[in-house]
Amino acid sequence: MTIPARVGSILRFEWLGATPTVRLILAPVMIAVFIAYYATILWTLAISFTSSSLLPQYDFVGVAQYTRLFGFLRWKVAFTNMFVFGIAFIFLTLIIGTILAIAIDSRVHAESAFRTVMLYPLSLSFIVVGLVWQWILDPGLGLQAAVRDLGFDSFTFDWIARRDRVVYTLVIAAIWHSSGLIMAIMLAGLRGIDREIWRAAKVEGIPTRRIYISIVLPMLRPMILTCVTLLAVAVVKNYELVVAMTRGGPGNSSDMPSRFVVENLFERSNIGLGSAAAVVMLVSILAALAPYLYLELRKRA
Amino acid sequence: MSFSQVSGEQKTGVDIGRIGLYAFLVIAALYFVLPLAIMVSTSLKPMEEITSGSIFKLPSAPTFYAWQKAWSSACTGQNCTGIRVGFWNSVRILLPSLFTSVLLGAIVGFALAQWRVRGAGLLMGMLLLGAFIPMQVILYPLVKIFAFIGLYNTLPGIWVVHTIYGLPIMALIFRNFFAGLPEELIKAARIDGAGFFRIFFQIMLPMSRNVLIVALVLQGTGIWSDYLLGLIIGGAENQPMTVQLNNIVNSQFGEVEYNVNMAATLLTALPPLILYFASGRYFVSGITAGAVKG
Amino acid sequence: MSNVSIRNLEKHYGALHVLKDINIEVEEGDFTVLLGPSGCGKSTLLAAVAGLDDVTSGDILIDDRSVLRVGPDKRGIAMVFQSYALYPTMSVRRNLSFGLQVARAPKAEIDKRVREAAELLQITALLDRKPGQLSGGQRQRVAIGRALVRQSKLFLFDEPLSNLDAKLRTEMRVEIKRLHQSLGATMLYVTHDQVEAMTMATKIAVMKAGRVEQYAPPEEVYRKPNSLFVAGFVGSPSMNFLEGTLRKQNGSIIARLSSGDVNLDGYAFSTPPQDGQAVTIGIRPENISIAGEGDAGITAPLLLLEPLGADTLCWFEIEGRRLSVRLHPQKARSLSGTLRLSFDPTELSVFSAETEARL
Repeated sequence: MTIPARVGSILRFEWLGATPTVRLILAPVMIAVFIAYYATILWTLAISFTSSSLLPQYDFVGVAQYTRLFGFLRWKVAFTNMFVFGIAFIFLTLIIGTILAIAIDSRVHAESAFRTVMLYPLSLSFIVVGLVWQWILDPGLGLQAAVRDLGFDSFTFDWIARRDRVVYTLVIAAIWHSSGLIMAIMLAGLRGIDREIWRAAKVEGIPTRRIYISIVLPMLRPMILTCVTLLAVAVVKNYELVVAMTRGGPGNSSDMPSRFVVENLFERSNIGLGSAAAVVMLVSILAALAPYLYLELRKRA
Repeated sequence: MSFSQVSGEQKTGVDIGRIGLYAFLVIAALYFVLPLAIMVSTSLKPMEEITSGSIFKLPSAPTFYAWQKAWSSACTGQNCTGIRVGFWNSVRILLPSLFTSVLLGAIVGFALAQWRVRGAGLLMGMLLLGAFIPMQVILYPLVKIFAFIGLYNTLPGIWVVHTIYGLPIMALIFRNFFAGLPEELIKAARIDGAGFFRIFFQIMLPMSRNVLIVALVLQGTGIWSDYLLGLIIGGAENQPMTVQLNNIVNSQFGEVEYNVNMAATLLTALPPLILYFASGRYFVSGITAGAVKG
Repeated sequence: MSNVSIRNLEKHYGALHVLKDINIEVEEGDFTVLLGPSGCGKSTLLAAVAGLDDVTSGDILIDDRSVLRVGPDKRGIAMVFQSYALYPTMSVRRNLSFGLQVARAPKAEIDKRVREAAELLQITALLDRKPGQLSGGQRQRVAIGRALVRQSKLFLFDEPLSNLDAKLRTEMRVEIKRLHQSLGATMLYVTHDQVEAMTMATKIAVMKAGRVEQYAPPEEVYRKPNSLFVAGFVGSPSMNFLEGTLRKQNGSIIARLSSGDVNLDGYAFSTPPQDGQAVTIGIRPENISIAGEGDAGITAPLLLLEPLGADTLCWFEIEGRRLSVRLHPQKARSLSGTLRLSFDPTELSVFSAETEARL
């Protein structure tokens, strides 16, 4: 193209349509992404409607695997655990993270030191996190033993060894890992609030606690929703933590859907069952995403 | 900004509120630091001291015995060659994957940000949604596909997996970054005759130092910390450090050598921790950027 | 209504000395404007009076009692902020009533005050909307309403009109002045816009670099500025400045400029003039006239004319600077070439070239 012609075509906004290069890049990417994410999901979905065990069989058995799934005690335990863990984890992490953010926001010295300390667990693999807390909460090795050592002979903290309490130990470890993230997000939100709103409220004589409850936190509602959504997704995906910290035990009392799926797909050769469980996991995530997506779409409308 | 900066009354004496605040923050900091500190201190003790004493006591005569054993002779199942095998595996997994996933993310992010393509929105939506999809629902078909194309149980297979599954976050942060750059820059380059890749490599990338660091830190810690993909796709010779660690610790029988286990855990945690401390605010801005979407 | 007394106020911000020995007396019902360029300390001073910022030394009295140890909500003040600072998640009605609710005022009283404030500011129709649904001018009114509802005796305004466009600004200036007249409240108002200061104030405190250069009614600040800075800051187009030396000649005092002499008889010197003293003469465009035949004056070539409609600005070149003269359009029409200009000695200002203070 001659230069004037090129300039002409650019100025006429022809360049706004993609050049061949861009299409050449994005097309294979789109195909790869589709296969990697969506084709695989559809495949798993298909298998969940079959009777596959060790090898895939492409017969259609309706929702037999699903009924079988929810008749399984082990699955029911895992599924309930997900909710128990999820609710406790989301609730506590949100509160702790927000309180930490408010505390850090109060112009403390060594603010970046505190922030650094609270965020480093996020850089660690969940395997590391799980192992660390496995040891700390080990009755014979960690907290219980240490406190007893100090003289409090009757102190017990053996939740990790109790079937009815072990899920909560997972919560403790997960809070340790993730509250820094919530703190960072809420801190960014707090910092974004117009300073003059604080001053106006002060002039009106509104006590600090009330300012947070009635003015600041309502302003941060979108951020809070983001946090809840992120945490909810993390709850469903959570796998390494269980594997490292409790191995699903004692027995199977701390099992989670994620671990259930992997075991059934690769160790117990129950592909149909595992796929059904995986689909249930996916549905749970979509349910967790739904409020956020709904509000986002309504905003764009 | 908060209450303490907005009140101008002259304060008489020490403020109880401030003391409480600092006390709270110090306790919180302890909650975060203590587990790691305990692990370090325990890993430096010999086993006798661990079984006899409290986990809170500092080592009486710190020794690196456990660390050496963890590195070179800890046992994972059959082999007792230590976790260094896993370390080097993780390195071989990390470096190429990091390069390709950041590069691809940057290219796709740039394409989506500044070039009007039909379907750009669709691709971005697919990627965003993809970020939320749990591996479990993809895993079995993935294995089948990879087995079919011969990438199953291979190192290149892991590279491909990390690249594709890191794409959502990478493309997101690069797209957000490039969208903030002026359109006129690219128009001027087009008039000068530059095409997509020339603009990308010679104009965009040099301007991207900050977002590149963020991407490298995020992907770096993410890939290093991966367990499931390495376990399933990698094959026996390519198990990453996280998998080896779990094998060492959770498959010990007989007397458990806590100090060795903790040393092994610390070794696994060290690279991302170093990256974290070295990158400072980039880490924070990366995770908050990923969280505050669009 | 409240009076405000600021005495010997000093404020240091770390190593920065932001307020230097401020002394201002605001009487009941005054509309005092703190005027100055960015960074002169005017907003800091206002924040100190409000209790939103502390001071290093000195005293602030409201209604003859020191308020240094008193919080902002107990000083009997109401404040309007530059960014309005409305609570975004609350309706206008709630924004107005929130402070009173927190103070547990009786519901009937709250409703009454909200209604009255809304009527006065003509925002009754907006009571159920949220701030995000209002225009800039409407938000501004709500911000003022929130201050009104407190029924306080001292109102503080922190550059409330800066975020509005020119037309709205002119309208709101009138509104605020009208408010002042109907309420009779004491108002302390911060701005960098000298037009706002001149039109609204009963007294202006012109500030520069943490110091009050002059504290006087607008007319005095305009006609008899205390310093070169005040003279140049107030008035548009700016006052003309010319350099020269004082000379005593034949019993008269004149200023010898490079392009001629200016007779200073009739000028009220505050200290006796010294022969040979270096000075800067300041004269406003409207106080210069074309010299008649035989009159003494300064000669200068005419550069160009700027017809403004009601009058014409004539620009002359003198000593490398531009001098503006405001003339009636008819007189200006026929001008050209080099002309002689004469100054009204009673309306000019003489500043020491060294100290920049008024002589």
